[in-house]
Amino acid sequence: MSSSVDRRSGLAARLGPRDEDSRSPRRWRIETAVLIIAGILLLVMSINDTSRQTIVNERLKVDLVTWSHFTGLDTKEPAIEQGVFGYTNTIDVVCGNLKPGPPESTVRQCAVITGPDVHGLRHVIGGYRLPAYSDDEPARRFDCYGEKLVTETCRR
Amino acid sequence: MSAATQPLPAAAPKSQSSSGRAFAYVAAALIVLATALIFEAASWGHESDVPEQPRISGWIGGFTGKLTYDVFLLSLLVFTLAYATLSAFALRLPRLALSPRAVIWLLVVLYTIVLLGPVLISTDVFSYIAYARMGAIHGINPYEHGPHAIWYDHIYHFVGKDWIYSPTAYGPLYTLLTYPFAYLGIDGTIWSMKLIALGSTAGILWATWRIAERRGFDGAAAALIVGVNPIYLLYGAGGAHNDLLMMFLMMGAVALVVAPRVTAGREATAGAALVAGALIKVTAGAVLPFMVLSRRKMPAVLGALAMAIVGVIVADAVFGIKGVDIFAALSRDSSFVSTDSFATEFAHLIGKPGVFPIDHDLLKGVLVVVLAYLVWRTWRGYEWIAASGWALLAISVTTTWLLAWYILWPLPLAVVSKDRRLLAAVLLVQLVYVIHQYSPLLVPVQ
Repeated sequence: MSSSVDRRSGLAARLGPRDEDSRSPRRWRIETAVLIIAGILLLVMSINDTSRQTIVNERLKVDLVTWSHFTGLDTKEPAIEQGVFGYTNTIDVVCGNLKPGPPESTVRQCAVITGPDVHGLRHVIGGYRLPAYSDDEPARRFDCYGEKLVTETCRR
Repeated sequence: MSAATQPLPAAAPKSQSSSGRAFAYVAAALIVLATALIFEAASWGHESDVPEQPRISGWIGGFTGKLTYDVFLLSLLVFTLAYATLSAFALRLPRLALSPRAVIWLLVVLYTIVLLGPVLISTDVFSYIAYARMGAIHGINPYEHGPHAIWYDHIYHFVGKDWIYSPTAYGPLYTLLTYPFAYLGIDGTIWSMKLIALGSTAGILWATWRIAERRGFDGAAAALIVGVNPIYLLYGAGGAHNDLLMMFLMMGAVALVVAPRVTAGREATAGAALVAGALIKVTAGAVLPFMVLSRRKMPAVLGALAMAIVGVIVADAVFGIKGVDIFAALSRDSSFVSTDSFATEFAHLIGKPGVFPIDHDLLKGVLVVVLAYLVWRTWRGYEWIAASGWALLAISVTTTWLLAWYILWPLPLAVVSKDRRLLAAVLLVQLVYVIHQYSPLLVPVQ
């Protein structure tokens, strides 16, 4: 066998496997620096997002109180949806059963809530009802009321 | 030798006094307690971290309350701190680390709890069962229809709401493997899926231990870091995810070629095992190029090709062309966005409400650059096991659809890699993921 052929793989020597990475301290340092920067970025991102979610959770707690206060219902486990009226605002929609029963098992009363927390409540700008076991889609909403933003999405 | 290539320390000598290991035993006991508490509380029934499911473990409950966010997250915190302690001992202070025998006992106790407990956190296993029942019992192709096609089947009730219209995204080999279990009834199939996940775990840990020892590392330390990992145990094994079967085939392939004498047959089997892994879940295929590029031996290529040909023929015969096109399902899932993905976190950091379509393209571009760099480094002689681990880590970090069990993929490769930076990076990513789960504990909404 020619000396220019790798004995293990049978490939030409220049194509054959290499046992050791040609260690370059400079490359190793650059790689490590990039990894450390990426790691710090991931850590900062996660802590920022956890903190952001904590602030959102505070808002959602106020939403639940606002919904109960506004509807006069004490339904267990009303559901909160964010982003129903856009992703760049703090408008939330809270829907809960009108009558006792498992979640979504009866007609649901929804309240569209926005604005800052004032004495533990936020501002209700409108609302609508949804049939049992149905997704919150415009075509399924009925008995809409409130500001145009809400009523114009209501098809019934 | 640089810190980056320092191997895991050798196991502590057997004559070592056990008094120095008291901290390790306390940490191990805390992990067992946290695991027992989580699974016992989960057996009470459906909660935020417990999907609706047949009450296969109802007989366990009765000692504590339901698995609320508080209970889960506080137990996860204790578990994570105790795991960090045990891992630090295993890596840095072998005289304080658990003995190999204690590691084995700890693993046996933990996975017995997982086996007996309910399914945690994810509804995926019910999707697996639904797809199996669709094909085996109802004669419906799971690559063409979602579980909604069997809305009249009891399993449909347990499938995640987001997935009822989704055809299966899993590989044809996995789908085919699950068909016989469909005849065991829903409870029987759940037990089967749990046994497959735990059998795969046993295989992964055995392979990890063997590979670590062959590379001069401490096998017990390597098995402990993988098997006692909270994300592996609670999210991966707890949810009976098929990722574990994929990882078993991946680590089996590595074990076949990390040996003093590797025959052509072992090379070919390793190549075939990696393709079989990709036919379970396509991610395993990411390891193959690095193995081939590094070893440059024809039997591995031939083994991979043979398995791929057999896989394509069988998949086409059983499922039609959609069963062959596993990349289409991958492409579909990669367009989803999860709140835990780092892409979403980055978007929030820079003030954007979330991930946009252009971001998917940017992330794919970043991934291609990372993979190309790893390919170049592997060609130049960089360790292929580490390169494979970096590739899997890069996939999980850049995906917009990140789930906890995706960050398990590189873990067993990281503990047997000579590049210690990989293990540090994988554990950091996991830590960051765990931190991100804690907002409900800080401000509970309900």
